[in-house]
Amino acid sequence: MTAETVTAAAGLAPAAPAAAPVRPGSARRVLSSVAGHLGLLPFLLYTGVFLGAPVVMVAIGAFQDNDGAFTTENLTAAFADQFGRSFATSIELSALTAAAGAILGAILANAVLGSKPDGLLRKVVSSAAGVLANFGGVPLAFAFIATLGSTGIVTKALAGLGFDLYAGGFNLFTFTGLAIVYVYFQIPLMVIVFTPALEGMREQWREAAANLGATRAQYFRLIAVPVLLPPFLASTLLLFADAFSAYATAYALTTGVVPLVPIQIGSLVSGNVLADQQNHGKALGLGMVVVVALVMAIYAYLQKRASRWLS
Amino acid sequence: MKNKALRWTVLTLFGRYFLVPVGASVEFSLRDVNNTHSFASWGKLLDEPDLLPTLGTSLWLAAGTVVLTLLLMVPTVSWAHLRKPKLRCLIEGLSLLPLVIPPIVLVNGVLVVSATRRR
Repeated sequence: MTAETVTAAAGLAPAAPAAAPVRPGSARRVLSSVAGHLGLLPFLLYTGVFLGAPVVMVAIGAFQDNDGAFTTENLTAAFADQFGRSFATSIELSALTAAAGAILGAILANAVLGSKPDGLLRKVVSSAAGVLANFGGVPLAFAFIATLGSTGIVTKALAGLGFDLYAGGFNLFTFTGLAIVYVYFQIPLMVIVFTPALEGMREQWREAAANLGATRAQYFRLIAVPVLLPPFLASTLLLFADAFSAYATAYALTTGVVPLVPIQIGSLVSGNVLADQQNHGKALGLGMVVVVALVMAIYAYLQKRASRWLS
Repeated sequence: MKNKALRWTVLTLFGRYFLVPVGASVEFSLRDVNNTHSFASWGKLLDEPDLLPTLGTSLWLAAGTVVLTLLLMVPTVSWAHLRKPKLRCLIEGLSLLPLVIPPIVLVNGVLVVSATRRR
């Protein structure tokens, strides 16, 4: 009896571990894989509540009328008349300043990279870029009013030289003025996001090209440009998204004279409009999210292309 | 850029572009009547009763943001780095979103959330 149970147990015992991984083991694996991802939970929860939920609410609200019934009237309104024009103006301003900021920022980043890798210049530029890329809102508007406003320091200096900026048709509180101000935070942002790509350019590539008899122009055209184009365009798109969502700077500077989508949403949110338009802001918000999503999809694709050569 | 002179010209021009508005802000804040300069505006600022409370709110908000960010992100990032390096892309992607999703849209959404709760 005891011997039998022993042998039975002994006979079963080897079988049990063999059978175990099939069912309880796989359940345990699923469980442990879920438990293994628990570390991500607080982060996902936070982004879900403060990033996901608002976006979802905006998307739902865009399709509802004031009583919560389904309608596409908000979206039609968002692309007609002054709202539609504000989309065009916003995209135009963002594209223009992103292109200018990207080109100037790339030139600056390249000039800085020519200096000693651990030199003072590098340190100053990288910390200054970090600060200035986040410079915006009322302080930035104030800085430019003090510089290029009608009694600004540069306006006065130019007037002293006999050149009247404002008589020449310039005005800080217009589209042009806004573009000049936006470039002020676009260039530093470009320096931050594009410098890693420039640093990834290997000296050996230049040497190899030179050994094969390539001129500097050929190296530039056939190697530098193709390798750097994807990260350059990706950075430009990031600048576009940054300018597209900027609100405080434009508001502080023009108080809504230049119609931009964020400003329109802002005035709809603060209730400066008719009561039956309360969901128009959400439709505009959805429009912005769609534009940004498109831009970021292309950004992700370009980043993938960029990582082929630069890691 | 191999050419040293060209490089420094570029750097000087950019330096001016970035420093002039900052300097102009300082100069503007010191302006007084009849083309004179003084600390009069700064003096008035100190008499402003709302100065300290609003400054306090801003600093408090900034400190709270930093603490919350560190509490949330340092464990998450270290954990992902040590245990699940594959999740790095996901975290990077999600972290980029607040930079590109317009804050005004989030504000609009948050207002909706709180409004429905109130009702």
